[in-house]
Formats: sequence, C-alpha cells, structure tokens
Amino acid sequence: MFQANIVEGLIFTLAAALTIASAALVVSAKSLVYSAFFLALVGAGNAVFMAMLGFPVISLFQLSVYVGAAVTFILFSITMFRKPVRIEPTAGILALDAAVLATAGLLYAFQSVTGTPVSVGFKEISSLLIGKYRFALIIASLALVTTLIEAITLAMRGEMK
Amino acid sequence: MTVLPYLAVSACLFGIGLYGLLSSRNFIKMLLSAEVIFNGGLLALLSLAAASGAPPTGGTIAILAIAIAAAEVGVAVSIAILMFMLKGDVDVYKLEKFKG
Repeated sequence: MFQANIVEGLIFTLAAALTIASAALVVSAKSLVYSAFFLALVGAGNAVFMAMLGFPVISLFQLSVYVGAAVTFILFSITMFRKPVRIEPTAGILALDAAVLATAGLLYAFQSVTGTPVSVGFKEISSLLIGKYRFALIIASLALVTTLIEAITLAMRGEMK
Repeated sequence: MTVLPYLAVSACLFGIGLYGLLSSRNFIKMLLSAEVIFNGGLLALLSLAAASGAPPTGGTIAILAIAIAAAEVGVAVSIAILMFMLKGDVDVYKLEKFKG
C-alpha cells in the first residue's frame, strides 16, 4: 500500500514536470514545429493524468484523437507554409500579470475541493453517450464531418489558384 | 492521493496558455496556446468529475470536448493556411485587412 503510494506520487511528479515544462516550451519555442511537438507532449502528459484519475478510456481517446490526430494535423499543416512563419517579439509583462493572476485565482478556487480518484469504465461512458448524450454525440459527429468538408474545400480552392 | 494536485497542474496549464495567448501575434502560436488552455480545462473537468458524485457524466462530456477540439483545430488551421496563401503572413494584427 505504502509502496503503491510512492510509485503513484513518483509517476504524478514526473508527469506534472513533463506537462508543465512542455506547456512552457509550447509558448516560448521560436519554431512552430517545436511548439506543436511540445503540445503533443502536453497532451500525452494529460493522458497520464486522466488514467491516474480513473478514466483509462478517455486517456486512450485523448492519445488517439487529440495527440494522434489534432496535434499531428497542426504539425503537418505548419510544413505547408512555403516560407518560415515570422514570430514577433512578445508583449510580455501585462500578459504575464494576467496569467499569474488567473493561475492564483484558480488555485484559490480549487483549494476547497476534496475527493479521491475513482475508476470509470467503458460501459458507463458508452451507455451515457448513446443514451442521455446522443444528441450531443450527433452534433460532435456533424462538427467533425463539417471540418472534413471544409478542409477539402480549402484544399481544392488552393489547387484551383 | 486527492484530486487537488491535479487541479493545481490544470491551473498552471491555464496560466501558461493564457500568457502565450495574450503575448503572441502569430495565429498558429495563439492556436497552440489556446490548446494548452484547453488541456488545462479538460484536466480540471475530469478532476472535478472524479471528486463529484457522477464521474461517468464528466467523462462523457470530456470525450465530446476532445472531439469538438479536434474539429476546432481543423477549422483554425484551415483559416491560417488560407490567410497565409492570401497575405503571406499569419500576423493577427493584419486580420482587419483580411476581407473578401
């Protein structure tokens, strides 16, 4: 029991360090390719947290759909720009103030939350998806199909030019 | 372990993403920062769902949110590519000239 807690704490610490460092590098990297790569690491770190919180199904979904599709899509799209994209100098101090204030506010709001991670299986989530949330599922599917049509239209427009 | 450390990480992700969003003028960089904020929000949603009485509901909403986020990334990147094809730049300060 004690050893399991130590292992859990160690995994959490490593995942937290990886995720926060990667998030900082997404924002600070000079190259968009590196930024997209570090975003994939943020997604992967988040997937570890999801599994530790008791949502292994969502963790796999995050890895396959978010990291595997969305971030890879960004990464490949960046390579479509024919010349390197300029990154302007940042507008630093006000943005930093706002970010620190928002983080402190969230930490203050979250400090009263109690509870421990639970285990949620595939069966409960899928029954909710095809039951109570079926309209939301249809809308999400339509949104994905619309994106596909939009991407094809834009690609054809570029080809015609 | 309670869910409090997870919420602390989500708050940090939100803050880092917000800094990136506010301090950048590059459309793609802003999108990547918004995605960091999304990851923070998703982690907070699942942490609060785990601490609440109905974790499967939070999990279902998270799955829908990830699917919608993937669609949103597709739309935003397509706009960026179109903007780059027409203007040769992805500076959001030049978006006001992005008409027709």
